[in-house]
Amino acid sequence: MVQARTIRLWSRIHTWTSLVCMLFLLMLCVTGLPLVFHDEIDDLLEDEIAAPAMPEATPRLSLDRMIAAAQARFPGQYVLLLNLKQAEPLVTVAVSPTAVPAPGNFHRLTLDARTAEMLGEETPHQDVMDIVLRIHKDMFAGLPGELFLGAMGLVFAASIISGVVVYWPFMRRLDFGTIRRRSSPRVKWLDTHNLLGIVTVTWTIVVGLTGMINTLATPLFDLWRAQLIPVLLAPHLDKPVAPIPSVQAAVELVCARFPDRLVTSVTMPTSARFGSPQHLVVWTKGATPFTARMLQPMLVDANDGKTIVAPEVPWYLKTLQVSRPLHFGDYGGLPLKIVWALLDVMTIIVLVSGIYLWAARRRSSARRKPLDAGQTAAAGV
Amino acid sequence: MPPSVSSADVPNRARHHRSAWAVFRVPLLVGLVCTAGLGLALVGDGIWDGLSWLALSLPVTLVAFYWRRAGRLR
Repeated sequence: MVQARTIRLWSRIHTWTSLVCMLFLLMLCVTGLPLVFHDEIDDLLEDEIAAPAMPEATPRLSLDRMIAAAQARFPGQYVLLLNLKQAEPLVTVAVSPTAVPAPGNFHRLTLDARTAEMLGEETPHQDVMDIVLRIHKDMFAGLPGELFLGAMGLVFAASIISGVVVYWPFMRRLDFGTIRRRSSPRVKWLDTHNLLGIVTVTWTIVVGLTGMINTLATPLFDLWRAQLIPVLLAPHLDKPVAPIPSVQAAVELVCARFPDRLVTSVTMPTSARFGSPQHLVVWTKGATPFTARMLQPMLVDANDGKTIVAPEVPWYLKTLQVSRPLHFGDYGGLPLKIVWALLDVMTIIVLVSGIYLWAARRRSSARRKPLDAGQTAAAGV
Repeated sequence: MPPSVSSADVPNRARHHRSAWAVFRVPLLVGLVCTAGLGLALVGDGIWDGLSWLALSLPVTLVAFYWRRAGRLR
């Protein structure tokens, strides 16, 4: 019978794709759980730096003063970037002892935007959440690890799709939501696996695929940079990295030219891959929840401090930017994060019950092999 | 669509096999609601976030409902 054979094939695809990605997915789901509440946990673990109370209308100092203050604190070191806090009059400045920073090896200074007073100084360190994030992101294996987990995401998508296909033969005789709790544990967990799996499909597909897209962030950003930067740098060939021009003037220029965009951070001229050696990169975001996800860099020529290039962000980076919140679940307040965590736990139950069902079938088919091995395979559990 | 109590425990062999549509209509509806939920919080704040919480809670609610019902039939 053709249909039975098709079902058996899909069932086998479901079994093997699931087995291939199972361990990694369990790791991703378990580490993902605390990461959903990343912000909340960070707030608990670290003392949040707050700006001292001052009258509402206290003017902010020039951003150049912030850079000067950071340079005075670490003479001879390299100022890499400057972050403008949106909610509070705070500016953070990242300073590195080397021109191209080693991962994690930079100081982060928090300054009062109105007085340039140093409010906090974060030495290079890794806290628990950084470690959880590294495991989740690349298992401490860098880009290869990241891409490998992306491939596991694709296998997971294949496992989900084949799972939906084999849902049909299993549910042909059952009503939606049936859980035969009185039957054998295997039947009970099969029903649970089916119900939890089918209702979470949309979420797992979206979180899985957006996670996979995230693993491509580094190559995609490098691709864009490779297309964009050489053209921009053509007139500056063989020049050393430009000195930092007036950041305040550059930010004001960008704000005047693009009044509907908010400046979030400024990257200094750098030979590192996150910036340009001859430009200040002024990062801006939109004002609506959706456009706030869409970061747009404005490159201000560091030599004349006037020429602005606003490069069109390519579709693949826009896709990446939209896929981020959909993976993190951080775009709808704490209740959305709680829902995210519940769906994550449901996915863990689907994964674990899947392993259990596979092991239980192997055990029972090994026992019954002489009798009706073919029949069990046709049932395709 | 609400399943009858007697069939919840033992598959009803006398009944005809369900069509793909009959099997997938509820999951499809859940999928559409979840898709809307995922999108809604992206377009706005406030009421949009609220709708998104409701929509994405549907899978959790369904599982809680059916699990409890199966327990009561014990």
